[in-house]
Amino acid sequence: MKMLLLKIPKPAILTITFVLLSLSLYPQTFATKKEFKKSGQHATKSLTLRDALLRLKSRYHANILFEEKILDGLVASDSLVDYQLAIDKNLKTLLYPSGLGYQEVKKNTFVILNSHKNPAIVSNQTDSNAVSAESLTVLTESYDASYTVQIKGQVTDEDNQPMPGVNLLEKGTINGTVTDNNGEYTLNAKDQSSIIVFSFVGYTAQEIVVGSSTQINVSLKPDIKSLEEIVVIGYGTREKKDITGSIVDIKSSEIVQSNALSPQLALQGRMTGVLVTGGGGDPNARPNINIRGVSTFGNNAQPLYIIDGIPVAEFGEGTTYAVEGGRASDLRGTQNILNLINPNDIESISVLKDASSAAVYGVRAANGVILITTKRGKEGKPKIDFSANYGVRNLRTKLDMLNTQEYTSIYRDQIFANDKFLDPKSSFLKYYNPTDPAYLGNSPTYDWQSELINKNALTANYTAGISGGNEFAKYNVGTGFAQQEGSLKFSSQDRYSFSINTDFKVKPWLEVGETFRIAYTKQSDQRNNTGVENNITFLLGTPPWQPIYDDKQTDGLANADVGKFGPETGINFVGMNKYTSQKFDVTRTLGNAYLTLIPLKGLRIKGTVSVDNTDNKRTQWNKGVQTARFNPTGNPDAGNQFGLQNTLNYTIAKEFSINYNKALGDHHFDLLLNASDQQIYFDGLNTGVSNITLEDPNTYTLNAGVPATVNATQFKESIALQGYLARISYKFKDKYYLDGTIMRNGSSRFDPKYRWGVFPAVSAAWRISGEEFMQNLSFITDLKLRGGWGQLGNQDTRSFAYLSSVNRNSQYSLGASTGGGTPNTGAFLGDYANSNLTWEKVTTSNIGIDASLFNSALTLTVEYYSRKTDGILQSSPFPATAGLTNPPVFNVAKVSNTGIELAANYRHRMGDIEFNVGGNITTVKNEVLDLFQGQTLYNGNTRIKVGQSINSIYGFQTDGIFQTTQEVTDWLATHTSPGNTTQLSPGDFRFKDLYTDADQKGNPDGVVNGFDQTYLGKTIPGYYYGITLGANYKGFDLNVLFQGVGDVSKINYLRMQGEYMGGPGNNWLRSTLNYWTPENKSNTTPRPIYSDPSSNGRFSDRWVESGAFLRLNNAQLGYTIPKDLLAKIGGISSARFYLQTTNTFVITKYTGLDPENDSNPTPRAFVVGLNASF
Amino acid sequence: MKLNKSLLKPTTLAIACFLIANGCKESNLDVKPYGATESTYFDTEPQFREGVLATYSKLVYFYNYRGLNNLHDVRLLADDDITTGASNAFETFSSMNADNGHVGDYYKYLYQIVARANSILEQLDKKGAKAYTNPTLMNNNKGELLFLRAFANFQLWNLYATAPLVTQRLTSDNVDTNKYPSNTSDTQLLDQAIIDLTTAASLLPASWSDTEKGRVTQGGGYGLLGKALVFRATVKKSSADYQAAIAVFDKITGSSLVSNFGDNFKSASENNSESLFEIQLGKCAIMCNVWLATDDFSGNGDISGYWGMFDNHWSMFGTPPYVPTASFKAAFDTKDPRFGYSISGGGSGVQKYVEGYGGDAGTSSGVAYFNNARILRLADVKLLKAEALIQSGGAVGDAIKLINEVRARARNSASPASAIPADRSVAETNRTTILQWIIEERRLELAFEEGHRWFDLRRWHTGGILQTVYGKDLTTWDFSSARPDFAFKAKNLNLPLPTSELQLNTNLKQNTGW
Repeated sequence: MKMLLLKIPKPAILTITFVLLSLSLYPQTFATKKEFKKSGQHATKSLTLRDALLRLKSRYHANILFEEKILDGLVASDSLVDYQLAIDKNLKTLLYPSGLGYQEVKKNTFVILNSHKNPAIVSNQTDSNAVSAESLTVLTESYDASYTVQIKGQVTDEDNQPMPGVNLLEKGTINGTVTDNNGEYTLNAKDQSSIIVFSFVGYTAQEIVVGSSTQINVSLKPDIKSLEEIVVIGYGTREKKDITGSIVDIKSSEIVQSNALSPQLALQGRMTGVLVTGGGGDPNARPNINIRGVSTFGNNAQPLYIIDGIPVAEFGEGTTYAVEGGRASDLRGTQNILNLINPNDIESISVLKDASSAAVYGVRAANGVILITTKRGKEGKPKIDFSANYGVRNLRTKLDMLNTQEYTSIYRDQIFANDKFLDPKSSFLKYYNPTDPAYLGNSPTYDWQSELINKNALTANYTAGISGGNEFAKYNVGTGFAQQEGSLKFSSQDRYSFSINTDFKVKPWLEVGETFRIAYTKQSDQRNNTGVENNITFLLGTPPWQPIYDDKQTDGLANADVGKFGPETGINFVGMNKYTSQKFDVTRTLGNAYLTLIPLKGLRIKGTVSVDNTDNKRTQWNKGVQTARFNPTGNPDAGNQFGLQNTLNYTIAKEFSINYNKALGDHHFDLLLNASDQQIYFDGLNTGVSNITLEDPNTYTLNAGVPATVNATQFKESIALQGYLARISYKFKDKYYLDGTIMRNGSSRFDPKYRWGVFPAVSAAWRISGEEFMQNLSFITDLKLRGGWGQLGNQDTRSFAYLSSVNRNSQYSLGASTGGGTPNTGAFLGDYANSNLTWEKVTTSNIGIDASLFNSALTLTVEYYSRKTDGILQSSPFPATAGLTNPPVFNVAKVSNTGIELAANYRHRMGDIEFNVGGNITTVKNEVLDLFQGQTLYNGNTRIKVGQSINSIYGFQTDGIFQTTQEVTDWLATHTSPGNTTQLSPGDFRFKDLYTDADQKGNPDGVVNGFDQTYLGKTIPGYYYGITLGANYKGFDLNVLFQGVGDVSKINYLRMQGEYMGGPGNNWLRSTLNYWTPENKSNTTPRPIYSDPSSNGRFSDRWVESGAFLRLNNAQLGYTIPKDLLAKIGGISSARFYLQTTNTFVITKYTGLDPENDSNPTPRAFVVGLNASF
Repeated sequence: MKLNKSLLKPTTLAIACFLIANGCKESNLDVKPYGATESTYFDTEPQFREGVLATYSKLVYFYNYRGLNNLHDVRLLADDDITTGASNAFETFSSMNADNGHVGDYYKYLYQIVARANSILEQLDKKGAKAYTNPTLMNNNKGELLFLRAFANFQLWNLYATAPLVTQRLTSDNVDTNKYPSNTSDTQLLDQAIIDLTTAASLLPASWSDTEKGRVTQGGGYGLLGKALVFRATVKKSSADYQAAIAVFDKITGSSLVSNFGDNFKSASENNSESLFEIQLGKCAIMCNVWLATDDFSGNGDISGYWGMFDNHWSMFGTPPYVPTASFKAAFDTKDPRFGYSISGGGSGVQKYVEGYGGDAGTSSGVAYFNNARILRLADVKLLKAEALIQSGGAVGDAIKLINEVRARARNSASPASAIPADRSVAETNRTTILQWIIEERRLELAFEEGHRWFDLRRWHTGGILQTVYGKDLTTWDFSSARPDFAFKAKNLNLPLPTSELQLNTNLKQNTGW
């Protein structure tokens, strides 16, 4: 796996493709070449600029390098040259009239520059080793008559794009040439045994024997030397070798490879420290990302996303309290924040893991930063890229449920185990009585599962883009259409996306540009209608004897008729879905505009304004009378309803920054000052109308109610954030690095007194390989020791938790009028206001080694990290006696995450085969260090408890099953279990008596009650890892990604529902057939008994399993069509086809459907695709 | 490097200035919430009115449908009048434990009433004098808040017995001492209710205007005060409390028994002359969503109640309804008109609240009932007074007269009037016999209403009265439950304190036996 992101952009490389003039050695070659090329084109007799430079060169014994075309047709006056002066003065005199410039790249070596070109790129080359001596190849073009073998061809890059300016040299001679703008060349070689060397800065040189072919096409591969790779960091880019913090990144080729519609999934398994949990088979669900463990509670642990410098915000961040948080997620919908980005538009994704990297986004960076940079225009002719893929997704696993006969039989056993406790008049007995006409056991089994599973769910993505530009203006325009169906029916997503990026260089000192992006997604998502359709576990609620279809009904759908099928009748969701609908129309626009002033070389003053706006419209309708037919508990009186919810979420962010870059000898300074201001607004409007008499739901509006009464509620919130930042980066001789950052951040979430927080960060690096004493160790390409420490703040918590808000929602009816009176508003104080609230602080420290060995064939990174969160904004439960409505928030809890990250990558070439193997693993030790009053937080089956991992699983411990009456009697002699012992008998579970009091205090007390619940496992994986394999052979390429997690427990809710044999109404998993009987003395599956009087189904270790898994995440086989074949077709410059499969198999002990998502399991996909350029 | 001269052009400077100036005014951080906050509220009479009404509003939580997770079982199922075929811990006693969700919810809502009353009382003390133009209204409001707090404490005592007493709003000043309150003992909760009600009754108005009807009146204040005194007297065997109760009951004026017993349970005759306090169940202006809580959702949160468990409404989703027990049906002479008003279908269901219950209208869910819950009515008070007279050595004749007033209204509730129930003999002088008459009369008169029977049984058991009258107590009582797993033990006299509460508050000790 490649951890390194962005190569130096192509234009930069082009501008540094020069011809080295060594006139003293090869004077004739150049002279003749000039005549050869230009004769008849330029009749001028005046001295060419080129010749003038040649004279300077020989006079001063200097090296002068230039790109041929720059000097093309330019003349100079020799009389202007004064040889008494230094060479640079004369260069200036000769070049400036033609608008050219120069740069002394090393002592006595000058590069002639087209000074209109981006000075930023030029200035990058001031590093003495940026243009290394060996990459400046002596070039000539020969017409020697003895060179008779003419060869032609094209040179392309790793993306199959033509490469202009590639140097060709016949080995051992001075014979050579350069490729033209189409990457094509013609060269006369000496004979068929000649070896031609193709070279280009930043790429591995290739040697080709001429042989008998006259057409030789070459594809150059990037030089893997990590030193030259450029990584996007906060507010800028930096060469990989100069990085001091903890940053991992992936570039576009890897992002595209994942083929996921949601860019987060491209990170899965490819990076250390980044755990991505997928959203399963629901196209609308968002993946979850945790960076280096979980450092805070609630929903606040998600990283900050920055898209092209714009921090994006979501409604409901920081709301953990059930009602408020539930409403926030309802208002937000199931939106994925990154839905607006077509993964094909992304140039790179950097993940900033430690404080010193993320500090520059400190206002919201406490959980790490995901920095997304989209593609921008590059100089050159317009280039069109097209990609298309099409595939199907299918569930890997299905539920194994009982058929009607098995179900009836087991249910009869269950009832008769407990018949004396049944109401003798109970209507359901007859359904299980074989002699009764209502007996269900003779019914066929109906396959409900097939009605929910969407076989061969479509996934397709088409994108097209055009990019190009010149030295003044560059553009990149992208468009895409993506379609994805859920692997369970009734959910789908269509996405239309457009983007345009432009950059203008108005003056040498003024640059402006913009980014605009819009995505419209149309989503069908039935989940909120019946809570059913996105959840395969719902199928456990469908009795196998209940028919789905009925010819006698005009719509062909069977009623959920309790009279016919008994009280266990389930919802006919096929019918429900015909008469209900929930759709989302989401439009997200994201745009920014910047203006950069460059008053001095190295000084950049930049202002940016950005706007991010999401408009999320939810439309629901429900034909109440019809849906009541399919819901046994439906309301027969319900009318037709229509609901409309509109949520606006907009952010205005402004930034102002000053960046100054200065080299003083071997000392290099980079100073950044930044001020930012963000205002985030949410506005949710929920409206609805009932009693609609119209039949066609497409005609429903808010005006359609009879009487026309609209119910509306609004929910508004705003947040403001500000930050000031200073960062200084210093390096000495590319060996010693020091970065320091200090931030001052303000948030509206706190009282003015506690609003501001100051957060420092430092990091340092020592490039050991840069030292003299390392030069003899030739196997070490690069070796760096780096470390950092810093603090970040988190402000995400309930809004206005520092104030005592007045709740005016409650109502009370008053008045003498009959029929309910008149509702009156009530106002109460439900909060305990904590005005002392302030920033939650994360302190990160890390130390690591980056090594690149054997000429970069093997790269290694080892890093130890520690993240300590202090003063977590904890929603702290007070006892009910406090009478609060919202739990108060305190800065109290402490959590620590520590671990080791290890990544290794090896690549090797054997003849035509090039392969690479990579692996990464991250360990996480999560520990809660302190809580409010040291008190454990109870949340259903998980707890947050001091000394343990966040959200550890707690429940009863089983101690086998009672096998004999004697065992029961013996146990009851010393134990009680309030509420659970009246019918205790063989076949019931024995639960362990462990403690006396709450929170695992005291010794066994003979009473098995809620206090005996104990630790059963942790939900944060102890480690996670990824393995990548890649190979190239001729036109074929293969990439494989495995990904997995380990040391984690998972509650199997599927079994908890499907094996709980106590209640009526559900179908069960086939595993229940192994239930306990006096003959079949199971020690794992209890006896079936109606109403579960001994509470065998209570939450216990019975339902906890290992959640570890290894998944074949992604495998892709591609074939690139050879150039010569494309040349025959014409018009296409490159084309690659591929076959891909994702989530092909999972190795796990977990017995549910999917170790990551049981309710909507991650489907297996097969995709075919094409990428082409024109 | 030289400064590029063109940079000095004014336009360029203007752009730079714009970027700087527009960036970061620190006042941008002064974001105000869209709703009101404590510091800017409770400055006017209407705002205080809202504060009082929000305290009442919480009472509705005990009657909401809440998706079949309603709390009716807490009040109704324990007694010997009502049973259900469902396995419900309040019915069986044997399956009750401290993890029971309704045990926790009822507890939480009662303390929320206490907290709301405390916080608005505190605001009244701080800002009331300025806010109110009408000092009488301020006193009325204070009376209401004290009444509601007392009502919550009265319930806490009856259900949880040793739950903590909270009389102060939790603030940063007292959080350290008040956050984890200890158990109360004995009748501490009742004692506080009596103190609060004594003050409340003196502050409450005799009546409210038509638009405010439903708020508690002075009659309600005296009624509940007297009742609390009788309860304390029962368990403490205190003659003084009985006598105080009689005196308090005598202060109730302007109330009278309605002529038809059935009018006490119809939505058309809410807040009638017999009514001393009702929980006002209403309907939303547009549509109540019975799955949403009124505290959380403005406008469509549920302010209605639910009576579907009495008539096996579809919304019971197959859960067995609440039905009269065999022993209760046997206790009735079917010719007593109250039989028909109380029991439906000749014995299969409950009729109270169901006839003319006023359900369904105005909702799409069909499970929002707006027929008020009758908490305290004059018939209850008359029988309590009779009991107090008997127990405190008062005139037996007066007591019998009170019983007969209730019986007379009962038989006159049929048309034509029934002969049953006949008057009790005024010649009777055996106090135990008369006490038994009162016990039986309370059962017939107040059946299925708001936990009366269970609260009565509980206090009579504790006060030894069941033993005196029937020669047995609740441990051997015939609860006439439909459940085979029914098993009453002494610990069941009190509910367990919720597990979650014990986990959070280590000062709190569990009730005996749990």
